[in-house]
Amino acid sequence: MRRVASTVYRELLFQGYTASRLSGMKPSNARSAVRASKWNKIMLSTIYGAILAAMSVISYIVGRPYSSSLEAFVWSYFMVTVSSLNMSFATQQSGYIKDLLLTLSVNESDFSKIATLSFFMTMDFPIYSAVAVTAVISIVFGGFPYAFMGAVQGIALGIATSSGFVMLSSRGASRPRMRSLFRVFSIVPLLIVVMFSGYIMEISPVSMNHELSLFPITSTFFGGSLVYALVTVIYTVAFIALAALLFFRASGLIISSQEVYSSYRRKAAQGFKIRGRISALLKVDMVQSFRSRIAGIWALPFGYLVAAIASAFSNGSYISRNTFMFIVSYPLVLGIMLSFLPYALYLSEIRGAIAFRILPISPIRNLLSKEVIAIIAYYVAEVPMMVLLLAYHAQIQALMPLVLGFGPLFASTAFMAIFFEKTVREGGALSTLYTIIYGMVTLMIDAIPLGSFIIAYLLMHSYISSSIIMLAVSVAEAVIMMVPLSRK
Amino acid sequence: MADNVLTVSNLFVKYGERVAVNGLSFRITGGEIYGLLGPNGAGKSSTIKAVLGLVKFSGSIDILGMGPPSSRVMNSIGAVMEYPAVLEALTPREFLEFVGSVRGEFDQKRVDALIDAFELREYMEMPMISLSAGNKQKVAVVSALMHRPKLLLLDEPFNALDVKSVRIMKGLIQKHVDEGGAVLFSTHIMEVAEKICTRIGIINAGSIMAEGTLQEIEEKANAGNLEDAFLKTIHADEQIRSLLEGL
Repeated sequence: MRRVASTVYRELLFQGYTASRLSGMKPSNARSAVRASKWNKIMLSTIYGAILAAMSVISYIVGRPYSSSLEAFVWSYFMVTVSSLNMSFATQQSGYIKDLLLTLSVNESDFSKIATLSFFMTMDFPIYSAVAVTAVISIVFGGFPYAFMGAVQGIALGIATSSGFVMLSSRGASRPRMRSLFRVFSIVPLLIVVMFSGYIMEISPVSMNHELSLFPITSTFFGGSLVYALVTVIYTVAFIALAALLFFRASGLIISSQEVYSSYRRKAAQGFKIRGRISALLKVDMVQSFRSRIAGIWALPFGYLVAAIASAFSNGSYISRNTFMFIVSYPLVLGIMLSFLPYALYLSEIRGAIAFRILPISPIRNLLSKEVIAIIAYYVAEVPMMVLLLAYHAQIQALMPLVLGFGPLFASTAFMAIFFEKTVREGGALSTLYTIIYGMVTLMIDAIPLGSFIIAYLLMHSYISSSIIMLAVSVAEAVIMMVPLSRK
Repeated sequence: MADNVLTVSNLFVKYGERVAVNGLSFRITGGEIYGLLGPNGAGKSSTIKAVLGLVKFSGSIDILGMGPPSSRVMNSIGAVMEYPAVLEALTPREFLEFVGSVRGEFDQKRVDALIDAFELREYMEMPMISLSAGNKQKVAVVSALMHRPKLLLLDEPFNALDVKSVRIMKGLIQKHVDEGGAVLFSTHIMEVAEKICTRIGIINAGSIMAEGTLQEIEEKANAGNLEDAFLKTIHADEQIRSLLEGL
């Protein structure tokens, strides 16, 4: 049974990871795609398990053991969700797996066990990692097992979230626009959790509203008291029950569902609307990204803006006291976050990679469309922040880093085009090593113009000159990156 | 002599250590349907992918005197792949609008005629991921033919198409060459090749084993029909006989 489940799991990994089977792009290295996604799970469990351990231990060492509950919650939730969310991709065309198993005389009961096991395999290592790390920490430090309880809650809600998305993605698409909205906001729980992690260390039960002791998740903070420890246990059991319920419902769908689609428009349009080349590409990029499962990436600029504003207000005069740090760090973090948006846009076309390549679309023209979208996403988060800064009486010239801060994003988008060409050539999935190298190079490409800004500012004390230098360095980087693309 | 539309010389395609195309050379002129015939894994699709620039290759490919495959050349090419090369998140209407827009030319009358010929009208507002493989392939065919390309590259194009659509497509291919266009056509179905190809190249293990008109190929192999000629050329006839005896 386990061997069959393991085979089904590998097929699901392949479907979810490359999502390219029906695209006309035959994956040339299915084995390496599966190997890469398996390694991703192991590395994810190891790296985030280590972060979880470090943050929890620090919480105990600095005398804030309660913080370890939220650290464990955040990182456990993140690990489980990220490693299993891919399965909502796999549900798209996995109905044939059930058909195949039924022709092999696998009965419904065995089929159900295989489905459950294979779904569990997508999240097993992160669960083992989180449980083991927090159990050891809780035993070593003693007292109320803050870290362990936090991890169990995070794991349960992570399973519930992934199962929920699998169920959503396998539902009929009677309202495609609502589905697109769901996809846009599918990333929001992850985003909130990651943003939240930055503030955990500053929270203490004394400063918290005491009513939060009765709320799910935050009750763990007050676990030192017997009553609230009981409340925490009750919530934990409830989360586990919810996770189990959703998990078993979703695992059946994961290898037997076929998405049912209705038409996007109720009335047939008259005639065809022919556009300019770039605007046609822009439209297709936008439509594909909103209709694909990477739509959640669009929540990034909005989520970041909300989190930054919340942070600014929660810290009182944060903006006015730390203007330099704020106006540098805001576009910096935003640029890094958004630098993966173009890659997601490119990936959304992987299913139709051949369709793009048999059309007269040069890599440079394709890149231009992604550049425009990345810059739009940048200004979605920048313009409201600039308005806010002006309201805080920031000087106009101090806004220049924000106005011209799209430069690093512009450069890393050009690099993403190279990254994507490599991904397509590798059959839709790069090895883990390549992914890490490309990820690090992306960060370097962001860092060089930002570094040039900081150095220029320290030398000239001028926001305007430093911002122009940052933009010039970014453009130079982008031009260098476009050279290999122009040869294709 | 008609102008060369496609010239392939000493073409090699490798996937890691595996050689898929091994020094292939052929040329196609206007008004010609060149059929690449071969068993599964012979290198037919890899050859077409190389001509489209979809895989890394060595050797030389010249398309319409414009050099190797590039985005500039793609406007003169129409390609139908083994699997429908469409953008599945879009509807057929959105996809055809997109293709027309990036090609910079769109003959609505022709597109409408093709849509009606392949009976796609009722699916025009459906996301393509929901369509059957046959209907997706029909959309791919319409997108390949709508701009009247000079060179048609067809990799097992009849996959998943119904009988009526196959007949329509054969007619369209014939019309295309009658108007001076050229076709590179890959298939492993002998009857199809027999009926529509002007010249045939039999390919096995990445190399051309025989090339010529249908009559030339049959004469060379001393066979009465293309199937026998094909099996003799790739030295599979004896193998099949002994395999059947052992069963």
